[in-house]
Amino acid sequence: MEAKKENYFYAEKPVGQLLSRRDFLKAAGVSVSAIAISGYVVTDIVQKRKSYIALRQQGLYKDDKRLQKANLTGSHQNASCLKVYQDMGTKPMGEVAEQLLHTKTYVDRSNLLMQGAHHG
Amino acid sequence: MSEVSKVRTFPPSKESWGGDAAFDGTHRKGELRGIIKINQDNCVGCDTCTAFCPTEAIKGTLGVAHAISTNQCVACGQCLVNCPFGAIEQMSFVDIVMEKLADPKAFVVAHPSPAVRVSIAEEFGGKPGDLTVNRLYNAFEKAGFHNYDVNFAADQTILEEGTEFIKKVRYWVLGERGEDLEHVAHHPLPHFTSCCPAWVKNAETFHPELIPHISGAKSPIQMGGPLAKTWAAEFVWKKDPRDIYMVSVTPCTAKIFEASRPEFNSAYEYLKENNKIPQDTPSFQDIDAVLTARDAAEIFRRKGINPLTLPDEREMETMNVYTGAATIFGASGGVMEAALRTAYFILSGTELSNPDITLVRGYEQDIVEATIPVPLKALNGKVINVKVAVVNGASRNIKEIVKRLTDDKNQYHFVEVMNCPGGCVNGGGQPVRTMGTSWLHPLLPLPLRA
Ligand code: SF4
Ligand code: SF4
Ligand code: SF4
Repeated sequence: MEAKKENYFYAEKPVGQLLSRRDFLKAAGVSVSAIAISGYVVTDIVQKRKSYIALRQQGLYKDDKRLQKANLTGSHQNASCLKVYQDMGTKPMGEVAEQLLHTKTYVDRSNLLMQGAHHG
Repeated sequence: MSEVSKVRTFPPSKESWGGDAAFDGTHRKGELRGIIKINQDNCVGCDTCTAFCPTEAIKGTLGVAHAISTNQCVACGQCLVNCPFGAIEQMSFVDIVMEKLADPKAFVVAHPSPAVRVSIAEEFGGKPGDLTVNRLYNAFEKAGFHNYDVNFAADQTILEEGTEFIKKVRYWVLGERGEDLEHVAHHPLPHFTSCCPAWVKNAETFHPELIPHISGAKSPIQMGGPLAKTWAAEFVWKKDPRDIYMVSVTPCTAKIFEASRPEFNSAYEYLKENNKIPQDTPSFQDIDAVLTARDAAEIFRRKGINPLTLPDEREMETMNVYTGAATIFGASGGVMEAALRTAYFILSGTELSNPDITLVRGYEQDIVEATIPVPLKALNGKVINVKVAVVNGASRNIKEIVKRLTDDKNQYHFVEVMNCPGGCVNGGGQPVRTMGTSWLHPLLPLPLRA
């Protein structure tokens, strides 16, 4: 995609342009070494994702600190939440709260999986 | 690490919601399926994705194009964000939401999750973790949305789920009995969190024995949907609930599935029961459409909006009030920490002296365990030790936690499970970082080696 503004810097995954499936096969071969290479890729990705996971988490904890300073640390301090209960005439796990905010529906999908597998 | 990659998307088709059968494989009628797809033309068969899948849903051997088993897939998108070849695609509601934004009758609401505020900047040249709160609200407003922060709904989730957990402690640990505890008599400890839809579907499909343990409190987004169309419609926006179009903006592709669960139309049921809408109104879902962080960025781009250039100021509005507890939902261990802040306050009658319960935060460990002593006001300060576990990523750890509980079901009171390692900040709907090509070096033909 063409960048519309200089801040929009979209990149295609560069790897796809470098290597097609046939090339991948030719280069890697379905061999022990190819399996070792796949394993290396996974380790590499897991190493690299650590840095952006940590940065995004730090962003959230920074937000947390900002709110703690404003005396908004725990959910029981949220005045808007208390207004919801007041306006709706309910309380946590009250009748209306149960109807709107809780679910009784969890489905045992393991049965469905088996039934599905034997259909037609 | 200054670049993000484009992710290919496709719109839902008629078949995406299934046919007339009550169920089809693991999906019920109306539930979206095929949300994540491998493009057979682009997949080189490197087999990387299979290592990130929590349910072994990806089939294929090395060198052969891979495919996803719809029945096993929990739509978490971990394969998508980690495929080095960009071969995996996401179902997207961008076009549908753009149409709604052009409809003058529709009251379109953006409902942004915690983890989106620390990632959206990356789509516009910012760094991972750049905090975008007011600029994001301003961008949504400019694009034609009204704002309702999911973080506000996350606080509601803690008040509901915290109350539920305390009832379970009173019944199962302290042995209290009473009418208000009848419900929890069917829901023994350990208490499992319910806010990650990929984990919920994983449990429903592969560990149905855990179902009674999963919190009945809905996820923040699924609390926000019904509150928007009941409480906010009447008391804040003063709008006809039938005109409200709720768009959650999430780091998550499994939320696309969650919104389509047929029971999540509780605003409709409530409004009908209380004669607030005509009885012949056709059913509507609590959340009408789900956008990933990438999809939201695409809408901003189409409308020529760059959130990072907008003012970082805004007046605090009722619909955007939230606490620190809510915002940390986006990090592994955050739901646990948030719940403990409030449960501690309710049980002990005092605030935690240090609210930063860093010991439950899941950075790099797969499973985090901690014991939190809580003095009980009702029992003259008698202390109970609340034993908690945080499961940081489903792909390796669910089996392990089930094994530990099989060995001793009493070893935890409260277990948080997040499908994605690190939590929602690393969700399948987040901006995708390009990984560079260094790992390919040994594979490349000589002329291509840099
Ligand atoms: S990681 Fe991507 S290219 Fe590799 S097998 Fe999976 S889908 Fe195909
Ligand atoms: S979306 Fe998640 S569950 Fe589905 S195939 Fe990809 S990694 Fe596996
Ligand atoms: S951990 Fe968060 S982003 Fe990942 S599947 Fe669960 S809710 Fe979605």
